[in-house]
Amino acid sequence: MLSFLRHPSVVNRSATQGAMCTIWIDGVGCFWLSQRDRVTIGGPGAPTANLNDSRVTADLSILSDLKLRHATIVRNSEGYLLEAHGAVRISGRDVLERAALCDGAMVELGRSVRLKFRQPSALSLTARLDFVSDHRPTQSVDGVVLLADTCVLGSGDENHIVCHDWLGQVLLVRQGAELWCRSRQALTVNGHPLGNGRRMQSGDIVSGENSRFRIEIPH
Amino acid sequence: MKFTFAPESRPLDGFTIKRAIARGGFGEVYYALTDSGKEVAIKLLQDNLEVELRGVTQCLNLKHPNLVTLFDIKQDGEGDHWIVMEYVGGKTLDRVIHEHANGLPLDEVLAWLDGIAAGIGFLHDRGIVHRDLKPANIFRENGVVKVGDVGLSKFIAPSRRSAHTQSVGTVYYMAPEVAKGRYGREVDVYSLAVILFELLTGKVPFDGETTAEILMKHLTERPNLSPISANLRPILEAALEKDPQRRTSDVTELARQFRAAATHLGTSEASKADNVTLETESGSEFHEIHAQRLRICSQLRDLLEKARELETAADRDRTWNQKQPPIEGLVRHARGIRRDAFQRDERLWDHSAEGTYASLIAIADKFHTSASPGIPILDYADTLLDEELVSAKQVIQRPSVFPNPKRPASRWEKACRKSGRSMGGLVSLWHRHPLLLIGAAVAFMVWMLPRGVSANVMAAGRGMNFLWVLFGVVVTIELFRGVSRGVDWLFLPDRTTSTENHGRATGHGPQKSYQQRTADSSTWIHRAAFRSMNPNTVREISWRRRITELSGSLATAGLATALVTAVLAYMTQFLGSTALIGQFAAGTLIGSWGLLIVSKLREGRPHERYIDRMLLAGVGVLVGVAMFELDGWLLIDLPLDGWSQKQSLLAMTSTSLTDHPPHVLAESYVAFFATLFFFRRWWWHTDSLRPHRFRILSVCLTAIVGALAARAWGFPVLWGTVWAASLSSVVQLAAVWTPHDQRR
Repeated sequence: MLSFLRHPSVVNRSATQGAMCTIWIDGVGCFWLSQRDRVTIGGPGAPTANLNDSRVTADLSILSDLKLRHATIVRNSEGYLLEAHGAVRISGRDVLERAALCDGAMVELGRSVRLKFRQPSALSLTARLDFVSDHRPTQSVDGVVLLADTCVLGSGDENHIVCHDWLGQVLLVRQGAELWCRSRQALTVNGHPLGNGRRMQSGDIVSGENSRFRIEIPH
Repeated sequence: MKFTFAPESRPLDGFTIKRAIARGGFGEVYYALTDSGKEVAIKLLQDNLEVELRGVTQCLNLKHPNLVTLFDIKQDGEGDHWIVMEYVGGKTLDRVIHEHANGLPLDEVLAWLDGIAAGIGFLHDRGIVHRDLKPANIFRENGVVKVGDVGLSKFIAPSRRSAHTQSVGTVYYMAPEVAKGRYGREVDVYSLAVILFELLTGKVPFDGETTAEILMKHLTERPNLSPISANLRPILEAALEKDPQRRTSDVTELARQFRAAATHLGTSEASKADNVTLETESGSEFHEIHAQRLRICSQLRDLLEKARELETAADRDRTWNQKQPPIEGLVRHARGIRRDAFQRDERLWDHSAEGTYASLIAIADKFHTSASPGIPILDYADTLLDEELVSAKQVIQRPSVFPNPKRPASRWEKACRKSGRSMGGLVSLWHRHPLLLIGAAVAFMVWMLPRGVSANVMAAGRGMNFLWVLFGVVVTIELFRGVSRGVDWLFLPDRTTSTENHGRATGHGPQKSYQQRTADSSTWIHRAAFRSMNPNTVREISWRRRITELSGSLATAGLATALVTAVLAYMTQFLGSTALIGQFAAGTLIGSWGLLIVSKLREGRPHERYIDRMLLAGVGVLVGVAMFELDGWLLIDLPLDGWSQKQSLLAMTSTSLTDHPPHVLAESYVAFFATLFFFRRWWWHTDSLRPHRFRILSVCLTAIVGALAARAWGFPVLWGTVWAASLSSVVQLAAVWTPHDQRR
């Protein structure tokens, strides 16, 4: 009866929007992971819109006064570009059509949404969007990872997801359409040793001596 | 960090845990979603104490924008209680402070303060005391500050500390009266003042290695408010008052006063980011130093992290021995970083670097102690802390683990250590083979005695040969003491100084036996904690003070010399002529000045015995030369008292003495004074912390050493004896002395 009230994650649907994975990390936070080369950013749209339908809503839909598709971040072999569909400023400069994004760029969307573009490691094309203003999607999300090849989780600032108290690093590697987990640490996935690596499936819980995270992958 | 519940588990009906947030003193906190998608934080109360539940129930219906809202208390199938509360995203104040190692800008501080004061003021108005206010409990989301853990704070009396897995994090902010079980609203004022101090400077006012040490500081020490701007200082001083009666009465008042003073400050200094911290550093220099400090701290933290990993592994596998070399490597690395920092700029080595460094040394200390069975020194010190806070406080601050924390090694000390190292091989040989040393001493005696005896049977008959025996005994005793004390008879500083413990912490030097180490650690703690200060105590003495005291001593030495010479001239026939009186007075005066100057310059520094003695011997050489020159100038002949130079060491070893001149040789003068100055521990005559102002026993011993030296080097024995005695008397009379009750 009340199934429309139940949260997507409970009713066997991904908690994420569009094609984004979600990583819940103990003691750290919640991060979204996009594997697409084009990520659209926009407002929530009409309440009738199907949140899971990327044809209707943006990939990253933020509760804010933005157009339904306000901007698109495009990744190519050299880096990232931002295509503006609404009012966008990058580090204080208006973007009329498109502009390149570099590490540390402050992206201002509309009147008040501010995101910081980070590319913490020069060795990887993977980037991260941090929420600077208080605007979020419908849930608390601490950052969005734009996954190119590899996403590194670890304690230093050079990692894509910074996990302050972790002792080692964990890699999420994109192999075709699949996501694999690798680490030098002795980790387990749902209680089984990780070994040289393992393909991640939705709901997998990866645990180490002082770390644990769960991944949700959309179907 | 391990958490009880896995993601997606549903311990409470209607709530799905998505991830763990943190583990606090009260239990685990999880981020959960209700079935309809509402975000909440749920906290599992691990000990279902009646009193806690009552506390939470009391606050369940309190509503304030600056307090984290409590939604409900629920019980799961196991009977455990959960608190359902508002989920607050954003950073905790703890994290914000961590990101601003040198303090926050003043306007940020005010923003946090207003929110905290409003929330806590509201609680106080409802008759509730928070009791556990700390940065980890304070959040800011959407620009609104929120105070968490309302109604949750346990009664954190020290006696129950261990039972509640109380983290050290809490005691940093704990008011002194909490130790006595008093929980007025003043405890929140105190905690807020500590938080303000930390926001302004990046550091807590009272820091320490253990809970007990920090508590002790809260109870006894006055906070050092010098890094705080002068306008804000009286406000924090009043809020950090130890006596709750005299403390600022409530948080709203504290916030009002602080804002008033800060606004004044802000208008005068245009609220610069760093206007309240490190007033002496400014602009780009400040940022440069800040950046370098961060780098040093991060390097040290990495090393500490590795050391901790090794410690955990060693503890698990019982492989302390195997893992000792890598630990030593880490310590060497850290020491290198420390040395570099001091060489570049003293300010680079800050409080936090020192703390990390000390923790690393402590781990190395543990490795060294655990490598073979014995009393783990630090454990022992900690036990002591629980029992005897006051005494053990001194143990914690012992110079071994914090080797002269604020002061870089001077060039002189470095030279000393270097020479000590280069002689290390010889020392360790002696230490490992004491028999070699004893054999050498015996051979020396066997070689010397027959010559002394056969060369002068008459002298032996007159009983003077006892001098040789005495000399041998003194030498042997000194050598034995050297062996029994371990490595440091000559070269290394005393136990109360830093370098030896350094060596021990890093595992340098020979391993000691179980008994020896046990005895060492216990006597060492005993001495460090209970013994009063003595000339071996390493301490900071300013140059100004050294020079003031020295000038006074030199003047007094002149008077004392005149007095001694006058007494001898009038009372005895010893000084026959004016020239002899002049010679004697000059020798006493120059000798005592030399001793006083050298001792004063070395006072309070780690005693490198060998170096100290060599330095004194050098002064002796200079005095000897001066006396010989004066001898020639005054045209006097010291009366050679029947002991011809043939029996002296000079006569035995030198071929240049075939034609003996009738007067005392230059070599004899030089050798006599050098020997006399080398063999006595003159710093025990002159140090302001010597046990007694004037010791006749010291005078007698010095006289004996003088007689032996004179006898050995063909110097007039009577003169040697009297000169030595008068030197000892004059320096003791002239040197500054601090009475025991003023030694703190």
